Amino acid sequence: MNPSTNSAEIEAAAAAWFAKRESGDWSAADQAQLQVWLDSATACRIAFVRIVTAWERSGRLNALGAGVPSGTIPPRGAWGFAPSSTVPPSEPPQTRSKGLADPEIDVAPSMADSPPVRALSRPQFRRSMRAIGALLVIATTVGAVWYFSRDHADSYRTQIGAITTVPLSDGSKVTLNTDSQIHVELNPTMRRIRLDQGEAYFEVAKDTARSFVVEIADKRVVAVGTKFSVRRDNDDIRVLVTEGRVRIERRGVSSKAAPAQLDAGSEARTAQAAVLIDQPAPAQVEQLLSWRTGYIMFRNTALADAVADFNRYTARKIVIEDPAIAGIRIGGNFRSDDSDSFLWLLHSGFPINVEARGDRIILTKR
Amino acid sequence: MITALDQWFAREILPHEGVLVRYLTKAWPNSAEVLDLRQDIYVRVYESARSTLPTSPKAFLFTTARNLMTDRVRHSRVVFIDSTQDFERLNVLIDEISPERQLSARQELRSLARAFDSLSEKCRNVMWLRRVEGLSQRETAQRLGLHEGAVESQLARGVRVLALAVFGAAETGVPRHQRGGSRHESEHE
Repeated sequence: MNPSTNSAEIEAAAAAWFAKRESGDWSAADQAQLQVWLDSATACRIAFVRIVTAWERSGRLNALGAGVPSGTIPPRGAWGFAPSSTVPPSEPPQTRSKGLADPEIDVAPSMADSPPVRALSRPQFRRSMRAIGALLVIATTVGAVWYFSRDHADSYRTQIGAITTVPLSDGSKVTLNTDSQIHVELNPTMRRIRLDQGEAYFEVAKDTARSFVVEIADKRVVAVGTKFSVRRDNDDIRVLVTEGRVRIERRGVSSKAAPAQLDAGSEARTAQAAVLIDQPAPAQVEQLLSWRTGYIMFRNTALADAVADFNRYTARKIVIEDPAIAGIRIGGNFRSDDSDSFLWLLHSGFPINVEARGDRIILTKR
Repeated sequence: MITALDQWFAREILPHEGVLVRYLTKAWPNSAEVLDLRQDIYVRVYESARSTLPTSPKAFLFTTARNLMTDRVRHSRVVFIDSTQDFERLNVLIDEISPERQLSARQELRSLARAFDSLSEKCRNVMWLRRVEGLSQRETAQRLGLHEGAVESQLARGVRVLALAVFGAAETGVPRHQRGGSRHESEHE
């Protein structure tokens, strides 16, 4: 078949291939030729998957055949769709088509277990922005995960502004926040994650044979079947447990010192050797984890802190030039990839001047 | 042959086709290009997902759609009459609807039945016997007094029409001649 970029022609070709495969007269040579066609262009592959899926899903039509004698083809409009007409729950009927084996298969774990892949460059997505006063267009890099592996361990990195969930082969899930990096090592005796940079939320699958340990510098967070987040600031960490329990240990510390135990609803912050534990209010927990849904929440937050937080998500940093405004308290929910709404609020709701200068946004007192 | 990525695409992207095509039809001035646009968008999403699965497939699909349209406008020599081509204005509510919940079983059946009834006489008969009664191509050909080749090509047409219904794009006003197998085609086979 001649190559074509026209979608109607490609779809027609996909349908023709499908019908041929269903004809009952299909050889290995045919299969090989189909494979060649599928490999010739992504559009061909997608068109074929779409047709196969459509055929599978159209099995629901069987419901129209209920009660119809074999050999009779009901006329158009014979379907009452009255409340009394029985619509049996549709299961794909026993057809002879070789379609998608199980559309409910969760793809993610198998992709995580796939053979190591070299670092790939990712397409960058740019978003144009409404002009705000004197502001120029700000390009926010909403990237994705770089996945590269060494030996039997894997490393994952998110770009600035990105957030992604990495499924692990033991059934656990790690959600990486902006500009973060982890190094994963799972083997039969242990599950070890090293948080090199940034922030991650862990949902740990229960495994009594192997403990789950997150390492940061000289600290270890040992999980006991739980959900918790860890944020790294240089060599200090902030741990928040939402379910279950974790233990925080320090390497090199004598075994006499009891490790800090953290239950659900607790937060721990380390400052070198010290560990401070408190129970934040539910609203605050929500605030601390809002990044997982792509939002940053501020509640009566000092501008300096709000800006520092927002800067984690954008390559174009915001700088407070006037100390007088650093203490202004702000609140609100912002999409972490939407710095213009944040800046608009500052400009319109407060005596703050927002100015673009080179590769930064400068805030001064108005 | 069907890979895990294909299954992901079928499960997470294709169910949004109806919403996507309606969106494209509103946003893009030339309705004859909508299906080609849809294809290009699918290709971008698929190839991107090859390296990393997006955490929010529907949002990713529509972001890709907007970017692609913006690129096309930029590279085209045609000046659109409505030159403020602000695709952001036609923002779609981005909420995660799981594909299974998109259409109720009843609605999906009705949509399929309508699409089925819109087929030409010959195509409709073939699709009934093949899909609902599960007859083989040979049996269908014998029953309807057709050549097997004709049954095969009618099946190809029929499945294309059903695809529109299955993915929720059946009533999107896409140009007839691009849809395949509908009632007004001449029956010369």
